[in-house]
Amino acid sequence: MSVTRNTSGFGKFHTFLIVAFFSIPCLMFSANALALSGSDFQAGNIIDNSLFFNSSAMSVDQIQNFMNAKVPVCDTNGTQMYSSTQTRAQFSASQGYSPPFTCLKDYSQNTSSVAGQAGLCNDYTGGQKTSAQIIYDVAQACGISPKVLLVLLQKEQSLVTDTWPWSIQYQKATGYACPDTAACDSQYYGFFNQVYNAAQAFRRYQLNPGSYNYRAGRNNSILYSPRSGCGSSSVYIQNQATAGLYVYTPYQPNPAALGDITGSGDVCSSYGNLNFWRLYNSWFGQSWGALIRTPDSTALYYSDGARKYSVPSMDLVAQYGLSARDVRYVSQGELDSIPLASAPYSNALGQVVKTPDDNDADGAALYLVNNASRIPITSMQQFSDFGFQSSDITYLSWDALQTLSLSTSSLSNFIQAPDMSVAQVSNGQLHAIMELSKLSAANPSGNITPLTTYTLSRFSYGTPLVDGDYIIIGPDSGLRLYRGGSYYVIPSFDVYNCWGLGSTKTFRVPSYTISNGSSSGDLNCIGKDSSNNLFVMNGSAKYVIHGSGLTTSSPSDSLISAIPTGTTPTLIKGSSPEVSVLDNSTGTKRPLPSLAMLLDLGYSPSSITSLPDGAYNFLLRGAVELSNGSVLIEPQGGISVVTSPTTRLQVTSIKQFVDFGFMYKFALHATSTELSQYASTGNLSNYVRTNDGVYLLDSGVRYSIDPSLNSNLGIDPSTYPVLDSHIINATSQTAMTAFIKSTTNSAVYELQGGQKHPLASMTTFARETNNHPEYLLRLSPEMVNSFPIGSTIF
Amino acid sequence: MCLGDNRYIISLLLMANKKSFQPKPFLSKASTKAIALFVLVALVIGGGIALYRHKLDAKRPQISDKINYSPPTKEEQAAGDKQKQADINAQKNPPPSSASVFISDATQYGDTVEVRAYVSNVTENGGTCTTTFTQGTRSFSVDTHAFMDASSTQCGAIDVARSKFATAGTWSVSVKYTSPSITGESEASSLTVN
Repeated sequence: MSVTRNTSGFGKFHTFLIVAFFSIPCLMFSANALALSGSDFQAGNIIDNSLFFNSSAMSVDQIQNFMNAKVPVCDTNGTQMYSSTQTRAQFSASQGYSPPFTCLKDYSQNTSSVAGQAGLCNDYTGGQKTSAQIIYDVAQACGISPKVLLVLLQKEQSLVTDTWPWSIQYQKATGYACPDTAACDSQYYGFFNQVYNAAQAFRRYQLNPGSYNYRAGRNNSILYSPRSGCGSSSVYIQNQATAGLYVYTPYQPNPAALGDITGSGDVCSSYGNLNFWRLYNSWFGQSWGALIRTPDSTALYYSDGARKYSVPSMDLVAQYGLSARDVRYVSQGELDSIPLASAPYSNALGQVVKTPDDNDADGAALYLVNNASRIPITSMQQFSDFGFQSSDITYLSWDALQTLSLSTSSLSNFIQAPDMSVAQVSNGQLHAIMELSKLSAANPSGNITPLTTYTLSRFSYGTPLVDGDYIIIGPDSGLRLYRGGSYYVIPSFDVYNCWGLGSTKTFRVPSYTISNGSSSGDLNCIGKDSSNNLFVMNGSAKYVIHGSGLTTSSPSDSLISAIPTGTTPTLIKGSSPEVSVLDNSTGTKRPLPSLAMLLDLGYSPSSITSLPDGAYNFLLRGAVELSNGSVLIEPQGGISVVTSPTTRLQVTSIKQFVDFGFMYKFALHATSTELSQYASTGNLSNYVRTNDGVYLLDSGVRYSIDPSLNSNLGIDPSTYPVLDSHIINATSQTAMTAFIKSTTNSAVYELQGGQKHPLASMTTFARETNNHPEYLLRLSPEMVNSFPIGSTIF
Repeated sequence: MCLGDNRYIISLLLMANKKSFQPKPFLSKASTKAIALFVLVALVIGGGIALYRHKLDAKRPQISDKINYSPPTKEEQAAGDKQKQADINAQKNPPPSSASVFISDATQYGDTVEVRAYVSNVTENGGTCTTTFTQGTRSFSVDTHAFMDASSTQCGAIDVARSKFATAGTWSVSVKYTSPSITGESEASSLTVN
């Protein structure tokens, strides 16, 4: 009894459904193993050196098993139909080939020993060997990957998958000594001959790369087809393995072939190297990519085929022309099988490279790796100029070096950044050059090396190579005034103007980095030369001032000296309406509170000199400039009267305020700061001494005191400070006498010795005044009371 | 899990077949609907699983040092037949009447002008490559011994010191191959001498 035999229709259907259910996922993506596209093909990098020259990529058993897998059943007798009317045997016979056919997996032959040749293949020991053994042994002797040989056998004669191969296919198994458009050279016929000579050829190309038509590290013109008229294109061949493939088969796929990698393209399509790439990638995985890692670790290495180097960063390998696209994932076993580079090689990649051997094909050449090329460093002096040290040198194999395009120009000490700025390199620093004339003079050869941003990041920028004063306009449109290694920021147009910078050479730069310098702060219009002379600059003239504590700018003496010296103004103003008196002994401006004050002080509005804010605002700000006699209303309510630009006297009472007629004077509600700038010299006295004379002030009247009255009044005016007559604002004036009375009392007094003596009667008054009744002065009660009372005069 | 994961599938198959021991009438309408529904659900779930598996596979990088032991593709199976036809055709090719010479590089590297050229349709030893540099009325030639290679005849290293060029500027280069059996000349190539 069998389960399968007794199934009903429904049972079969169920079985189908279940199988279908679990098959769907597999059917949908079974072809997912490797999806190759022509766009993945890199003409200059068909296969990496590390894969091409890896002789231990497969064991004999793996080779055999692989070939077995590719030919499940060999049609030894050619019994399968070749066409509708002919079996393979019949067709073969018609072409001169008769069964039995031996598939590659079953092939064996007696091989002769071959002595090794220095630099090519080691000794090969002959004997009766299977094809797998021959492939393996030749791979070992010549240092070529067995995978490469298998692909070569398939690419040239389809031997790996052919189920009924002819003898001619073995005779020219690897196409060695077979031009594409002519007959093969029969002396190289035979499977072993073909495999061995092909492997040896690749080693020969590697040993003498300069002797062949295609070279790694060069731009090479490669034809699309043997057919004439199909054209060619330039290909930079990145490695020896790829160069070898082109020497062996000197054609590259054209766009039609790349668009149809398993088809036939057009009449100009050559598939040889494309087939090599396609077969290798579909049978043995990714063929390109010098960067290797395992899926389980982020550690990245650069492999030159024989050893691996640690990769410090993707930014660095970008200089090698490599990107994430060049990363090849390998098994841990494969990674471990490639030794980490050791002496004389460096174990990690760097940017300054050379081969360890000074006597190899490359000599002692040192290179800077930059933008996928190696730029020869011309001398140890240049090495030093760039600030490189011996510890910066990475020793790479020649194989690794030649993956980098050799720059057609040697390294220049004059470099160009991606932003097109140019700099000279010295002492490990970059010194920006802004002027073409300067560049031409310093670099007559005109050789300038473009460097990438990454390479430039190794260096710092030093002082730009510009003589004298110059202006930099930065990427933010900001302006800076430079001289030597320092600069001032130019904050505004009026500051630009006050220094007369219109004729100063100006450069627009893409980055402030290249115009490195130390900042001296914002430029203003208070200039200071190297002798510490101070000037107020306004572009058309400079004015000498003195003082200390000013914020000054000292960009250069030459800029200061280029501006003529003018007469230092007294009245100045900035862009605001404020007008000030300039005290050029202290560099102080004293604002005038009003036009009236300006006039009151005796100035003319026509004498005001306009200064840029960069000057005006940077002068020290002094107290408000007030005329003598101006009133300061103190924050605490007290009142003072200005007696000089720096002094004041305290007004002791409202009565005194009235006595002096201050209500008609300019009054300023002074801040404590302003008040402090007028030093109080004491209380105001109603006796005032001026250059005109001595006065007693009372109720808005000033009484002039003849010196003969001093004793009557009991005063000594010589001890009084001499005040400005402007302090007195009394509108009327009369002569002081010795006879007074209060406006509110009928008592009449005669002043004697500073006392008021009541006069007993009008008769007494007449007698004392000698009948001059006009001598009697009517003073305020307060003033009368201010005199101490004396004895009555009868 | 694919068909290769046999144990689970076999058990499911057995379960399905156990039901089939009991004789069944023709499928009823209800059964037909049930089957249709089952197929639909199977497709949806199966598709989802497939998509999930595909995404997982896509995320995981493929190891490059693999060996693909899968059977030959249809193209690989047909390759032998095509190859034989190509070999038959190649035998019918008449011998070339002239050598096809191609310049693959003509560039000044430092103080040396380097030219590389080859003959693509001949593999032989004993020939000579004559490289001629021309600028206006100035002209000079360099001979190198050619040698056979895998699929071509190589002209070898044609390296000329810069000092041999009287003036800088654009020069024309051509390579002529001469042997007892065949001759041919390349197209002229342009060379910039600094």
